[in-house]
Amino acid sequence: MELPSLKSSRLYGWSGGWIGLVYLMGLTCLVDASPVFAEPAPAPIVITPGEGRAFRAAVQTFHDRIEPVDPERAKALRSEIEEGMRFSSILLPLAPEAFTGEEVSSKPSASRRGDCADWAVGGADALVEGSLQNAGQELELRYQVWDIARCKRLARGHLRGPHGERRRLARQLADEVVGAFTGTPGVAATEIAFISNRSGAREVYVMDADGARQRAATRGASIKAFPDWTPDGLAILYTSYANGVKPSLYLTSRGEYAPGMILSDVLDDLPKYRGVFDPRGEELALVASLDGASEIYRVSRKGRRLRRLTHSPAIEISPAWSPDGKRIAFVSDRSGSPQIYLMNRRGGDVRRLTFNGSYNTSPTWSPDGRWIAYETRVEGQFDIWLIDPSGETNFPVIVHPRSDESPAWSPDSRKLIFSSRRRGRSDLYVIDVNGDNLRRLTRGQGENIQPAWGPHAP
Amino acid sequence: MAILVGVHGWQDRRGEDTRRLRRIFLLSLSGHLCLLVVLSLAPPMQPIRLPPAIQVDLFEVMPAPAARRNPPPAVPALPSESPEAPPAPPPPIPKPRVLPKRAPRVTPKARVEPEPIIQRRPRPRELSYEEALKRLEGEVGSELPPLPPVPAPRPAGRTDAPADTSRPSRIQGGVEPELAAWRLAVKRHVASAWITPPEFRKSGLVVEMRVNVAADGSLVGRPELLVSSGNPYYDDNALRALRRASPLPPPPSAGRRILIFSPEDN
Repeated sequence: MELPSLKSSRLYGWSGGWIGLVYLMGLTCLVDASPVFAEPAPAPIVITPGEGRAFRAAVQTFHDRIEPVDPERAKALRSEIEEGMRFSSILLPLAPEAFTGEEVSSKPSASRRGDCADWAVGGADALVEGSLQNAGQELELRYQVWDIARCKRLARGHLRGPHGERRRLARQLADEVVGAFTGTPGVAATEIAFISNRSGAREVYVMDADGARQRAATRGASIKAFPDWTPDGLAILYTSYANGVKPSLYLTSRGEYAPGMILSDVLDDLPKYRGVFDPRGEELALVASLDGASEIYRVSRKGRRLRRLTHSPAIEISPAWSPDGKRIAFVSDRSGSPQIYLMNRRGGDVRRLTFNGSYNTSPTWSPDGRWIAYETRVEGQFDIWLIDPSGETNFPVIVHPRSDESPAWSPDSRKLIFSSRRRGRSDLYVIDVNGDNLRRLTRGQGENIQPAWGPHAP
Repeated sequence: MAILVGVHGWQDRRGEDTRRLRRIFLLSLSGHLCLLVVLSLAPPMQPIRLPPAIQVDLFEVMPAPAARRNPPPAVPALPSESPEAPPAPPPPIPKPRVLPKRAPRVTPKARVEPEPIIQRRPRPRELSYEEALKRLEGEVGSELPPLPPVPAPRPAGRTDAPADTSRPSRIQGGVEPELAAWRLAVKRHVASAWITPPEFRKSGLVVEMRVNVAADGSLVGRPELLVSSGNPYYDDNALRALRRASPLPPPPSAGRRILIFSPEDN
């Protein structure tokens, strides 16, 4: 009889425990729900951007470790870095007068954590410090980039190059700083190819992104047109009329590619008006004339797998690859007037993109894929508009009483270069895509047209 | 005999179980009594704060911003490709010419800006906390009581304490003027410190952070990243803006606040 007694007492004990637990849970819920102990979360505050668009960067004079020491060398380097920053429109160099810290980098490898508050008082968002020294026969820049507000080192590294290319190294460093703050490097160290007749014949020229160091990339009496960089930036493809009236495609190279005519065995009986490399550099979109109407073809760089992409009695020109290489924008007058169309890389899924204006041409796809810039004729002059690949958003970006033509994107999709007759002759201008910072790159040396912005340095 | 012993044992167990139940009942009753005592001695109930709709109402009573640029004209849906019978294009978009056609001089820059990339709208002058509160008072009428003095900074660790109930908590219509004015001041203060490169504007990126604001407006500890935008540079840029903006305007009450950095007003 003891066993039932024990069981019974345990049963009641467990029951009492469960009842107590339920009471406690109920009390807990009651306490949790009581506003006496819990305050509702306040509504979030939504912050939208203000007017600030550019970071202030303090560039210290780099510590010069090259013998014999040239006091002007480090100052010139600093000035060149600041020029590259100004070109980016993302970084604005801080005047040395505003420095609260040292003007010369004394200990490039030392932590600056203790100095951040001082630099912040001076208005600096970024601090660039470093040294320059010899590395064998080359010049080496060692640098560090600091985020002053967070007192955090964003980047450190070194750049090397011939002593004669200090200016390019300085611009590369400026581009690195832009990339450290935004994730997308600047384009101050890139180059631009274009066509100019300043020497009498239409030749391919190359200049720095800010218009400096303009030099010819081709020589000869024949007419050249439509320069286009290989994606690695080591060669420029262009059209030449060296064979009389039948144009062909040529390369001018920095050594990696064999210069001269290319694709001579492809469509050898047809004039080839233009070639454009796909983003991988493995294929080209060609414009060739067949029975009096130009068509667009696709072919590998070595001349294999030729494929005709357009089949229309109308004229099809100006192919422009999308950044992913899956689509091609082009111009066709199949509707009665030149308009911009899109097709896939096999020539299918063709659809008309532009409906505003009666003459739209020269499409160029932004490297980030968001926009297609093109020129449109209004009242006999050309302006430059943007349209998104879906065709839903379309608006003017460069408007002037004189013609603005041949837009081309910078590799960071932040800038456009174009030719304009706003001063009579055609000159090249660069402008931020938001309409700021218009800069003229060529000045009165013949006609300067058809710009092509090269990629970042390999 | 065995039966009697069994009955006696049963009665003993029954009495023991009854005592156990009685103890449990008394224990529960005493717990309830303790709870009632605690509730009766607790401070008065804190008024429940208003839902997020406060912010929307506030902006409506603030002076309207300058007229923004008209949005880019919409392009009609693209018809299907038909080479034989091309669809009639819609009327062209009016072209915003800035300079007369005869003007021979160069304009410094394009006058029309790509709206989907850059958002440039004239912003009113930034208001201080006191100015915003005064303006708010003027907008909502004379129902507001005079502004009480700013409370002294509270010691650390009390940041979540309920607000001082002696301060005016809300006006007719449900708006807490101090909190609303502070939120507006913070919004403008941080926005002015937020350097936003063009690619981050109209990017659709949104980052959500929680900050612990002391009574003097300084940030306690590190901002906490609640929801990342997916772009570490955008997240870092928002953190940078917070650091640049610190200290914030002194809040009506210290505590944790959530800030959302968005390229556009939602």
